[in-house]
Amino acid sequence: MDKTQNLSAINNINLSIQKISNNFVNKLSFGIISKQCLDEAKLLYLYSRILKDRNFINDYLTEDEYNAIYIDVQRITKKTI
Amino acid sequence: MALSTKINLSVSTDWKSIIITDSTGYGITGYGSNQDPVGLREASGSGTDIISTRIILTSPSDTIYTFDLNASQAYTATISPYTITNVALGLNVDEIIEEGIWKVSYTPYFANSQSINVTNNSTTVTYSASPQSFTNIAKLKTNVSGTAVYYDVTAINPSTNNFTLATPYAATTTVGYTNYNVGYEATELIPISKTIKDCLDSRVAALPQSNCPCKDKQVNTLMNNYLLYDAMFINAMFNNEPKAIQLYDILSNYCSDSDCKCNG
Repeated sequence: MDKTQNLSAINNINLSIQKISNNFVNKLSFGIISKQCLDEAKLLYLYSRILKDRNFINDYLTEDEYNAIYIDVQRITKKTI
Repeated sequence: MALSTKINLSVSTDWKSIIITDSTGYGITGYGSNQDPVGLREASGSGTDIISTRIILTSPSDTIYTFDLNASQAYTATISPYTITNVALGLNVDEIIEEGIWKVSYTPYFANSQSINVTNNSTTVTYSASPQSFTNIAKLKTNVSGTAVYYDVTAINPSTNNFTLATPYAATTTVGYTNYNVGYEATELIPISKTIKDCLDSRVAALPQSNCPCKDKQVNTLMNNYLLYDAMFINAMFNNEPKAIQLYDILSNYCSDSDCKCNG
């Protein structure tokens, strides 16, 4: 994941979290938000935490880990946006 | 009103430095000409009254590191962050700071407007009037034959014009003593938690490729632990040492277990 991809992933995550949060607020009273949706929101939150702290300058995460996160972010955000 | 010093602590991203930022500010409880006593608590502007600043760091293993800043350094520390590096703590340049909860005490010292009466082997210091000159002080710094001696102030009693030292005054009894400074202490805690942070982040990084049968539970546990991680820093910021240590221990235990965490 390069600098552009990293920023793109964070933007996608933020948009998805916003979308999921709004859905959650709208649907909470009807009890129709899915468990899967909530689990994926949590996952996105966790990804956003490490992408903010472990950016492309920091070499703590391996390229494979970065790419796997990026692919997973794409998978989830495509569904929720 | 009296001066009330404040600091904010942070740690560098490589976990090799602790950064102390004086957030006292200016105004009625900050540095400034409207202090009471007037004009004796300036940090900038027309007067720079800080005589020295003493910074004491206590490590998680109770090792104490003391840094005495002269007047110029002390003034600079009020307007720009003061960094204590791993090297200043006696470590090699590539070593990180000891992990755990650190305590930082930051005390600027000022001259005072009136004399005090000190008695050898007594913990009570008296003065004639103007109790506001001593409001909020936490330390007394005396000068004995050119050597600074520091005392903790445990109680200030304005109604009886005296204050109490934690340990007895250990020098000659003097009436009308003026060669002293008063210190306004700010303390705060800071977690040094590289191992925990690396652990949490690496477990999140492993999630996309995880074959764990309880991945949802892993996600929930990690969510909880990131909240605990944030709570540890918030408790440290508010000087809640028992809770900060408890959270540090919980997270350390979590990180010392195996990766899958299906049971917890």
